[in-house]
Amino acid sequence: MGWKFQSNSPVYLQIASTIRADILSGKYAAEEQIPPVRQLAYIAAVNPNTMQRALSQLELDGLLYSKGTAGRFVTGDTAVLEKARHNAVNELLETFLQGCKQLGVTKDEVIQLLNKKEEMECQF
Amino acid sequence: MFNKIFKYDFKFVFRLWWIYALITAGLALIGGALLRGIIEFITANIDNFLFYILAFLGFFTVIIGLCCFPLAAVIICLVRYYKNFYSDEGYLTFTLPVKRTSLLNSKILTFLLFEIMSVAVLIIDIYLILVIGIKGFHTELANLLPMLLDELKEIWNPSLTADVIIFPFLLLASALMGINLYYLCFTVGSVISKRYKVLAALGIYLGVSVAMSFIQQIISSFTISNLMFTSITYTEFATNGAEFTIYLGLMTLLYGGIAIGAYFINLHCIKNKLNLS
Amino acid sequence: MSILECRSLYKNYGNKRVLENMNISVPAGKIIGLLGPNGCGKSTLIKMICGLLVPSSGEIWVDGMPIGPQTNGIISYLPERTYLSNGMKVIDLIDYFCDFYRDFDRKRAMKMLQDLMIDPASRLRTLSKGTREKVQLIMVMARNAKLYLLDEPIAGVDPASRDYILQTILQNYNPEATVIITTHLIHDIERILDEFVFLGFGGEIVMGGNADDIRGQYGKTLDELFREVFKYVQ
Repeated sequence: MGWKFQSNSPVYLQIASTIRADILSGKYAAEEQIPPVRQLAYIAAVNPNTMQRALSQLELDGLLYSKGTAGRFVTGDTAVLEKARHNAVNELLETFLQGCKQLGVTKDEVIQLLNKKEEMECQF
Repeated sequence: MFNKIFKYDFKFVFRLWWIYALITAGLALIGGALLRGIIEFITANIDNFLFYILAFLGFFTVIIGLCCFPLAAVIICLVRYYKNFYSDEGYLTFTLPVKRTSLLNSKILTFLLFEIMSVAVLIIDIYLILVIGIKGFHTELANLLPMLLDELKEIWNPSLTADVIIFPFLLLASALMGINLYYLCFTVGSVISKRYKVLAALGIYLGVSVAMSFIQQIISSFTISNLMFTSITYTEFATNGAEFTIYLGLMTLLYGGIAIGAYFINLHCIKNKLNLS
Repeated sequence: MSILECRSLYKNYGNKRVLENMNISVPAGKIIGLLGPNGCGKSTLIKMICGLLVPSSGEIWVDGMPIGPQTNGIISYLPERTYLSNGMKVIDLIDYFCDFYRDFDRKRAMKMLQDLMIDPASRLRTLSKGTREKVQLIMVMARNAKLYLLDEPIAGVDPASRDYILQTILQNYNPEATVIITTHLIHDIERILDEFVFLGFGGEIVMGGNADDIRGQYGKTLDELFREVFKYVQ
């Protein structure tokens, strides 16, 4: 039922990540209104206050802004979106590199593997 | 809120009761027909032995059926009380926005009302039997009545007047005592024993009945000891009437007192000692 | 203003002390989990708030009022067992609730029945046990109460029904009302909780707080934390 969450970090942060990804991937376009809190909470199957907290976090980050009772909208500020994207990619990279370090994979090996993958898929 | 609870209590009992009422009416009709048949056969000197046996058995069954009718009303009311209060339904009943007093009062009123209604139906049934069974019942009655009234006027005295006044109160007190005792027994039964509520209730009722008849014996021995009902005559009744009146009065007070006592003990338990499941 | 306040609450059954000096203040507008092992007094506390049990000593105040018919009017209670009269039809039950509870939303109840494809004209005794439980839940959630008390709403229920129950609670969520859920099945319920209270034996409040912050603070789910906290409790 609803979205899946990890045990080690607060649910509201994980929800924020998911919605952030939706925004960055374009599922929610710039200046588009996102569904109301209760609806999102129902879909995610979480407490509405938790969802509210997640959206407030995203407002703090500048990805969303609210028009009073009219609802919440995705920001049109491309600089903010770009920065968020940048941070998200860096986070992914960080996780990836940590994993590589644990396995003892060198930088050259990584580049080699990436090129091989590109060849096989032709499209990335 | 009392009205709402009463509506539901009444509906529940009525839904089962009216069927029995209809059955007894049917029995009364059959009984009346049988009685008429018996009388006609006797007056026509017909000697069909089998017919008489069957007719009397039939009539006997009708009478038994009619006697059971008030019992059915009692059982239905008790079932309603038990189910609504002390089965799982109690979780709903006792969390309604209704005062506990109203809940109990509604049950008592329902019981009383249906007892009265059952007696009324019974009287109508007996009347039906007599009207159908005895040809010219009305004329016979019209002839008999003045005779009875004259006799009554002869033996009338003030204590009889008092008796007649006290009697309905005695009936009411007796009914209320029975109702409140039954209800109290169920309540105490369910408080004492979670699994054997009904058995415990029965046990308590038996105990109370024994205690009560004991008290009754004491009272009667003080008041009407010289009125032996087996050999009473009108004159004895007339001269010792006062003692009988006192007896009736004391019994009314006794029953009334027990009814009130049982009511308040029951109410206290329902308010404070409830322990469902 | 708190919707529920318990002060110096004690409850004994004979010699057995079930609740000892319990003090609780519950704010409005939250979904709160009352979590603890079996027999720690969760159900006892809930029953006392409903007026089904009387405290041995102490006070309970609901919305500033003492326990009585007035508080029953603003409390919507879902007990562990079914309290439905099997002879009734579903529509009769709805009429019954409409009659006694001013805050009962008939339309909402009918809609929920429709969603579950339950025929309002059917008699309760013809429905399966699970369906009867759902009907009871619908009656409770169709009320616009100020305090909802759900006593073990998902125990003994299949996983699909569990999801339905949790969804219904979320769907009928009223930001001005408080929902108190008691359960020992924490894993399913923790995602819908605002706050939680761990109740030990004797009604001792072992731990409490915001359910989501726990994950940040301990790096564990509520379920995992519960197992840890009550590991040595008999």
